[in-house]
Amino acid sequence: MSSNTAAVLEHLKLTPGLSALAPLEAPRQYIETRLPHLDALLGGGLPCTVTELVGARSSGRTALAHALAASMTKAGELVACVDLPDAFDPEHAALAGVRLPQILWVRPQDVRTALRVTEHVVAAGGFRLVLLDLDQHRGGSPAVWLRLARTATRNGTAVVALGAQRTAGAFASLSLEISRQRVSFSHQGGPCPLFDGLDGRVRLCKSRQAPLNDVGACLVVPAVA
Amino acid sequence: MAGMARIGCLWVPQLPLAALHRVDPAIQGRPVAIVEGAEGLTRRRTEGLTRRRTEGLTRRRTEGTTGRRAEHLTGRSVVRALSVEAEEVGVRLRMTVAQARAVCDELLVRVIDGETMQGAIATLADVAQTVSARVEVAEVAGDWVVFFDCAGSAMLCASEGELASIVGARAEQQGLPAWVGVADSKLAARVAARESGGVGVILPRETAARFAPLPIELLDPDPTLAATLTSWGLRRIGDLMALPAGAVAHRLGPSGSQLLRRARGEDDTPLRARATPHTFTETVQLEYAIERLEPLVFVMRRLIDCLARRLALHGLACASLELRLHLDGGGRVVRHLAVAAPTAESKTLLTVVRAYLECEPPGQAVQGVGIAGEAVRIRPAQLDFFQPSGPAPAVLAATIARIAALCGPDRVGAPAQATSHRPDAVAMGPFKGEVVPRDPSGAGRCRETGPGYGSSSTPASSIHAPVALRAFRPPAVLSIFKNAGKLDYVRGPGFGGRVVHVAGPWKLRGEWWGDDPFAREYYDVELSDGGVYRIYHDLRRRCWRADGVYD
Repeated sequence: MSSNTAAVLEHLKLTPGLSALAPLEAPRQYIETRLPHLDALLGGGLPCTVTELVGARSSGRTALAHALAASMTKAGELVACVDLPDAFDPEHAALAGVRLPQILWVRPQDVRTALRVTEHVVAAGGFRLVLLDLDQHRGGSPAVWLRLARTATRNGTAVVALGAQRTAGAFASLSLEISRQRVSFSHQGGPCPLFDGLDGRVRLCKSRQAPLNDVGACLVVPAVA
Repeated sequence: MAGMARIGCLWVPQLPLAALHRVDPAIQGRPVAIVEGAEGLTRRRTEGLTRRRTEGLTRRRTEGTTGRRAEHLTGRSVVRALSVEAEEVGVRLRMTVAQARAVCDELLVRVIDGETMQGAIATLADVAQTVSARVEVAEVAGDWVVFFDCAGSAMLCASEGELASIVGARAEQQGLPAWVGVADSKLAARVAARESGGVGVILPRETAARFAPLPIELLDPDPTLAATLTSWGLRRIGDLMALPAGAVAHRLGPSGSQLLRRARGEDDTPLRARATPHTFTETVQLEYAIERLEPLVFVMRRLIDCLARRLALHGLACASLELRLHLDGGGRVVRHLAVAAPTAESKTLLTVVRAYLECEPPGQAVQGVGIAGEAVRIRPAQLDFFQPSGPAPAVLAATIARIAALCGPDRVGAPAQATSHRPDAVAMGPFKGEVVPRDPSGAGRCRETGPGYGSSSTPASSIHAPVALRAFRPPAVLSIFKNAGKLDYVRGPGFGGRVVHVAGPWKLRGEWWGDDPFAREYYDVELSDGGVYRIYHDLRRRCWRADGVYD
């Protein structure tokens, strides 16, 4: 190999983008959310496996889930919402930018059915994001979560489990905890007080692809008109 | 041959037997006699108690059948068609069932119902329609035949014989061993098919010569005329054509002249083209009523295979299914099953049907099964290198069917516009899984929509996501405590606390033009339990409700 060729190869290796190109056969490792600060926090995006989104009531976890769905649907992807508590509100989702025709909305009656439905959706392929809203419920055997994680990795799907507490345990490769910082009301005492929104903080509790830090990212959840 | 009418004919010998064999291949190789399903003979005879075999303590009948043979026949019903095996053991046409059973103890006697026959005939027409736009289904002298226009077939095949071979092969693929004839007229084409033993072509101006050695019965003369001709010693068509036309007309009248014209192969009746079907139906009446799911799905598989093959002939796909179950007690279940994405794959369609049957099994044994598929043309879609492709339509249809079986069909779909002005109204529509082009401007980023909030005081490294509402369905009943006319304490199922902040009220009235108007005052309240709730005071019912929590 001549010295010129070696120099060119070294130059190509250092070219941004080229070195990051993965082989075509390699499964997709993560999905870019197109929310830059979240992507930065996650170390690139949502992993193609199980992610937990944990937060208390009015912490902003559902708003973040809607933001993810909006981003995905705007990119032309299909999103499934397995809504165990039957809490999905299409009006607010649409206001958040979610394209509703691209949402498969399933309302199972129990946790077991919810997990089976999620397995079916992930196994079908073609859905880039599956929101599994479990709210206060817990359940699912380790075998189910393991199967779900493997199928999601194989089909390039990000499964996001929303809940008040962690449910997937060791089978979640990423865990985000959302805590509420502030609730904003304006014009209190005046003739027309208003609810302005929430402030929260997104903290990475567990990750296999990004370093953990205690700072996290701010979550700004404005009220919609 | 340009400008000259050329007609093709499809004829299936022993059509009732072929029709039954098509939907029930299990009868192949067995002595079978087909009798007509007589109207009104709906008496079900319970017999063959020895057939009832029990399985342990459950006493379930083997093969999921009731052991009750559902027969729409009596001992006087007449055999209309026979399998070769039945003929070999001595059963003959026009025997009564009692006579036939006396000859062969193992004889399988089946009733052919009109719908199964119609399914087979429609399949023949579908086959003909693959090579011709003009197809007619006709019943001639008790035989069902399909005529099709062969004019211009040189554009398709090298010869009419090749065209007929192709049509015959396609009919064979559909489970119907059809004989095909091509000639100048419908009559000649039918005779050519019946005398061919496979494929028969009568070239133009050769009809009379080809007809001459054939028996006069092929012209279907009325019985009186046939008896007269027999008494004159006329057996062949050529004998009749040798007679002077004037003398035949003088002695036999108009019917004689008509018969002479038919002997020359002249048939002026035009081809009455049928409309292209939009619904394809397959039906079978079962010998034994089925109780269990697996045998029922086994029967459904055969029907769906037939349906899928017919759809494939037209290049169509099935957009929805209608399942018809005839129950043993005389009841009937008709259920419309939606298919998420049009497909012609029998496996997917079977999954849809199976998911429904698992979800809502028929309460009684099933005596007959019918399935109708609404056909649509699949729109070709150009995939894009830079757009997500979404799930395959067949996979999506099967997945939706499985989910519908798990959760119920009304609990899966896509969010849709509700026909209501109530803020808590929601609706679901069918999920089509159509991927729309990505938004070139938005690039998927979520933008804040709240006026003025978070614009100046929020840190730069923040994630913006408009607030969402987690709905309570149905709205939660609240207990409200007031202090000095202001909201002080709110208690609901699973939540409650002292009111920290409150915004509102926003008055909302609507649907006053209908039977159930509403008038509400909405508040956003932050409670001491940490939640921010949307609650309302129902002014008409004088009660408080919470319809969601902001999250």
